Amino acid sequence: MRSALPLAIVAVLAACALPAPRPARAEVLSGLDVLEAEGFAALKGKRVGVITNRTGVDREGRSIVDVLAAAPGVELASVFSPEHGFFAASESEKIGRAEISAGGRRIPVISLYAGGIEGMRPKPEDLQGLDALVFDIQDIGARFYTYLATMGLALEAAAHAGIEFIVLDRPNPIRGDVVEGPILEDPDLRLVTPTAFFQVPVRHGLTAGEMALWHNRAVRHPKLTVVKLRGWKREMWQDETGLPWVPPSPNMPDLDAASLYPGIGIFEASNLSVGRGTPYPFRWIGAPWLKASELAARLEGRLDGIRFSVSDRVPTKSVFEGQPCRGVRLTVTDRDIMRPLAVFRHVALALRYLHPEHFQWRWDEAKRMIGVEEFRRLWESGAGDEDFLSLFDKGPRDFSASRAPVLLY
Amino acid sequence: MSRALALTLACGLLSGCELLTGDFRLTGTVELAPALSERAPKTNTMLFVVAKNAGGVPVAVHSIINPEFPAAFEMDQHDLLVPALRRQEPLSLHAEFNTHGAAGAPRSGDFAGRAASEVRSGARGIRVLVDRQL
Repeated sequence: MRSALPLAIVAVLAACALPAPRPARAEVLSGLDVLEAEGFAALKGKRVGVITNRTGVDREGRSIVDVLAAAPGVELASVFSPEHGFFAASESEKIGRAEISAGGRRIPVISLYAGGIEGMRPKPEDLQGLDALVFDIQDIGARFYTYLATMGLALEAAAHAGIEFIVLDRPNPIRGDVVEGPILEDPDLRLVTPTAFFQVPVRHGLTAGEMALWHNRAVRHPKLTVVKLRGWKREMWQDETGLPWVPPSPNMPDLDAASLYPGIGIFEASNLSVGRGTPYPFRWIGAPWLKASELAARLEGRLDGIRFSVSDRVPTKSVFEGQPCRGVRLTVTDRDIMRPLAVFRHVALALRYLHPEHFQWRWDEAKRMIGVEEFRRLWESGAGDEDFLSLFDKGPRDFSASRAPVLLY
Repeated sequence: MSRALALTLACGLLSGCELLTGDFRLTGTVELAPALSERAPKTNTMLFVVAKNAGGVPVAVHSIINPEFPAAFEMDQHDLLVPALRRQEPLSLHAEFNTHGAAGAPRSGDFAGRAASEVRSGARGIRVLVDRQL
């Protein structure tokens, strides 16, 4: 017994030194995998267009374009690409057409990011001759990420053209059981910007297929089909599904960035860098005027699942490009309990306290990102966190009942 | 539209030049030098054919995803980056071939090449040889 005790201590210490265990991987099938498994039954004998980018891959990593180009009985006529282009790499405001080689053919790639909200809507002439429009893109789970707005506009265009609209579902990569943030209150903003398209909370917890069903309550397209995921559970993160992670946009390199994006992304409506052009997009905030040490000190230890440390950087693009910035690095230590909208509230209020002169919102954009006018009133009145918490908690409460009819999982 | 019209009028008044809008066209083939074919990536690739004016400004870009070489290309008005172009504008053509999908942002390991001589809109049978790895 006397000799066993030190051994036990060594074993415990050794276990502590090991990296955190990798998440268990489930055998989830994406909508594309299910379509393949069912022999493309939903598309047999049809001439189809597919809205996709490089995230549209099956479990083996094969692009949906190659899969459909080779699918027996399916005629792939055109590909439509969203913001960031087919490669999900462009940061251009307007993306041109391209073509893609697949199945020994050249297929046109029509850009659905051709300028403004109307440049995101498929044109009637581009839908002419199609029997079905298929959507297969990995979303990120935040209302202001534009891929699902692309889907919404395409659903409307398909309804107008009288053709089928088929969503090959994909997991919400940051879980489907957590909902956070205010519900977008102004329905007319969807006419102005894809970042404020759906009247849902900032972190909506829906899959693409569920969002299509949500939007179809207004569109009422009778030919909407969602090819459901198999094996997905709402509490899963993307890396627990066994499906490959393909960075869905240039500044979304990994799941950590995605997990913070619904909160830190809101600061894109301010004069703060959110880490674009640094190795830590959406995991770092900075500015030349930032009192980084004081900010980190005010935040560290106050929130569950996240740590804050001082880290100075020079962003290579976007806000403060080429300028030395004081900054704070955000490190997620427990993603299951970390809440990005709570992180946003605390960081924002700390900035208001530390930088009443320097830190500024662009209020039109902030309204689109946060979704409610009330935020500005509270901010300018000097309200404290309890008031903001109350504003932010209302969205999930209201949404939990209204979203129930569209939940597929 | 009004910008293109203003450009047309201004250009016409000042120099009598004729602007292209809907009838811009360049066709040809991008070839990969045999010496590079082993090293060149086969999947998740992007080929850009870029036309620049005499000032070195890109005026048109044609993109082909996952090209198979030799890759025929046909540039038209959809590829224009400018509202209009002078009909007799001399253009230099080059190709960028990479796996990151960004044009005009060469990285180490990318492939590149150019057409041997300048062309004008309407040119056919242009040959662009990708013969360099950066």
